Amino acid sequence: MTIILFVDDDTDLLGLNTFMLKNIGYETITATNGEEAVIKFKESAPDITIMDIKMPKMDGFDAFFKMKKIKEDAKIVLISAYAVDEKKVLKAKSMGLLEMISKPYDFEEIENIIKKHTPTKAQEF
Amino acid sequence: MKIAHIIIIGLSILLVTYTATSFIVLEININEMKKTAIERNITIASTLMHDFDRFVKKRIDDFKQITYSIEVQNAIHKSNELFQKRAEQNNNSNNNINQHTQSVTDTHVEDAQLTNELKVIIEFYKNVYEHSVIDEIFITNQYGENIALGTGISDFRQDDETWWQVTKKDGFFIGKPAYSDNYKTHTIPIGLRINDDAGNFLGVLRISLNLADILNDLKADSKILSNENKNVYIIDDAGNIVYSSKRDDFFYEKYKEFESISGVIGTFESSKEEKTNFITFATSTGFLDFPGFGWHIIIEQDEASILEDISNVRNELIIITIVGIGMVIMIGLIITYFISKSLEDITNVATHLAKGDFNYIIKPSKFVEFQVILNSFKKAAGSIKQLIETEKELAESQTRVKNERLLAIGELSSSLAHDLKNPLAVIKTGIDAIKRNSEGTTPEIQKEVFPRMERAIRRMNHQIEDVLNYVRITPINVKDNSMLKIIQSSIELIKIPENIKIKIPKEDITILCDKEKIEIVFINLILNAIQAIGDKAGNIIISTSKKHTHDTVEIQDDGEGIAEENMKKIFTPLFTTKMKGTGLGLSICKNIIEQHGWSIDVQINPTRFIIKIPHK
Repeated sequence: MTIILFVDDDTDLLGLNTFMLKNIGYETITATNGEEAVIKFKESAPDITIMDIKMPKMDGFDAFFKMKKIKEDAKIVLISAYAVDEKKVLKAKSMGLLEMISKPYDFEEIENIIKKHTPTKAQEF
Repeated sequence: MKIAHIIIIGLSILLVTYTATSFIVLEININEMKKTAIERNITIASTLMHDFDRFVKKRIDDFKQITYSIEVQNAIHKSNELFQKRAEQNNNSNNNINQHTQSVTDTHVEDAQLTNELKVIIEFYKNVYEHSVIDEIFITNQYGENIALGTGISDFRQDDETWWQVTKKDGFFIGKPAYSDNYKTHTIPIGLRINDDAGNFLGVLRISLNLADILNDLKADSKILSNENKNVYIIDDAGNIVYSSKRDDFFYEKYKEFESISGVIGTFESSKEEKTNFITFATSTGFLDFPGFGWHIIIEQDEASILEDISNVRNELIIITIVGIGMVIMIGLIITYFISKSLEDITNVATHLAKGDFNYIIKPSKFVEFQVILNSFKKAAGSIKQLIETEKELAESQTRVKNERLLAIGELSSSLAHDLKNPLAVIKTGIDAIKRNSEGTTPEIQKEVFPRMERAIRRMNHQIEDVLNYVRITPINVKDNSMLKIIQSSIELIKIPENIKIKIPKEDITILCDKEKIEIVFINLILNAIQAIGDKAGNIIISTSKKHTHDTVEIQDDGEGIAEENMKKIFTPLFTTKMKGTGLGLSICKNIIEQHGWSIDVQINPTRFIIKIPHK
């Protein structure tokens, strides 16, 4: 079963997305900030991580870099609500950032990205 | 006009005045010196005259002693008797008088003893004074017959001579000095009457005093006076020069200024060939019973010699004046240099200040007066600088406030954009969820999706309200309000959770304020307190107090406190530690409070917001 780590400080958004992902058959782990996300990432070794950039304690970028240190080929998608630091985006891309998506997004977009990057496991489902 | 010129002119006037005064003082001194010199000369002349008279009197007195001598008197007496007898015999024979006289002369009795005595006297004087005092000495009897001849050559009969008759009549004769070929010297003939004890005329003593002897002392004195540039003359009563310390060949010439001499003492000036002589004179007045010769002692002194010292002083004064003028010009130039330089410096300072260069370094002046001006400049520059800086700061702070506001609005916009996108994302995802659920509103959807969507909409509304409250500063509408009522109505607008107890003040205070706005403040503060307490049980205590200068309202909670490092930032717009906060609540509170002219502050442990309401 594909494990998805979904990170967002907005608990309502996090709840809805978890609800949706569970509905289509993914196991979803959540975190509300960067720090928590990194811990969950270590514990669960998710197949893909979808993470908001603007978060308290540790932002999405920093969490991204830490995760990449832990696991070089970690699959991570970042979500932005607003303008982001382009340098960090470029750096993240050079380190293998899968995608950048903007709020508000179609849930289909999330679904497609997950399918695209975790084909085998989706087939299993 | 340059300061230098004034200084030079001023100093020059001073110097000229000084010099003129000095010259006047000098002139007065010259006159004084002349007077003193003349007075001194008069004294000297008088003294010399007096000494001369005393000397002559002494000499004459010495010879008078001879006339008192008994031997002399006896000898003359004898001679007179003898002469009388012969005369009687001759009268009887009725002979011609002239022949008689001749016969008497022929037969005259010369007293050899007396003659010898006179010679002894002469020798005595010669020995004592080491020069010839008497050039001629002889004695006649009452008939003028020479009875004793000490020295010289004499006729036998003297009774027909004027001097003899004057002597017989007046008792004393003094003749004019004359050069005697016989004695090769100038002599003064003197006749002394010889009387017996009863005062009867016995005969005459004739002496010729050596002029050189009489003048001996005077010559010595004259020599000393000559060294002082004084010429001494003795002239006789007819104005003939008897002695001149200047030259010997003046002897018995007429003294040129004789007409000017009258009186016992006196002085006059005589100018010739651009030379002025001061002439002082003293006339002989005799000594005791000696009536004097009626001669005059004259002292001539050249004006130049009197003023010799003074003229040195005059020259020095001229040199001092010239040097002084030089110095004045030098001093003037030096002062000018320093003053001009100082003034230039001051002008420089003023120019720089005028240009607005307040950082121009003011060099200290060596002169106190200029330093005072420079200090004033320094002070003025400091004050202006401060003023400008204050103005600048004010302008800057105003701009900063404006900029901060613009920045805050900018940030607010971006924050708003971000914060609205989250709830939008919730709604969008919610719609996606509903779309996917073909069965419509299943209980699951109703439970998981709808409340979230509703919350998202509420959140968006809240965000927009907050921003509007912050951005839109509406004018306040103040009225007297009951603080208690404002607090109560604020609480009514909030749903106070059951776990929280809220205490409101017992005493009311009346406050002049905008009710609506102050309610916003209380709502924000109470909401903050509720959020800080969270799910635990807690208390919110609102209290009021009246103080001397102000009233206070305090809102205290025992919830999670504020971290110390955040104390300063909590009133800053957009600062928030909450996940869903806008960071505008306290900023809005602060704005409203300040709009009222109040102040708001925060204390921690426990968290307490204090609103100070100053008495108007």
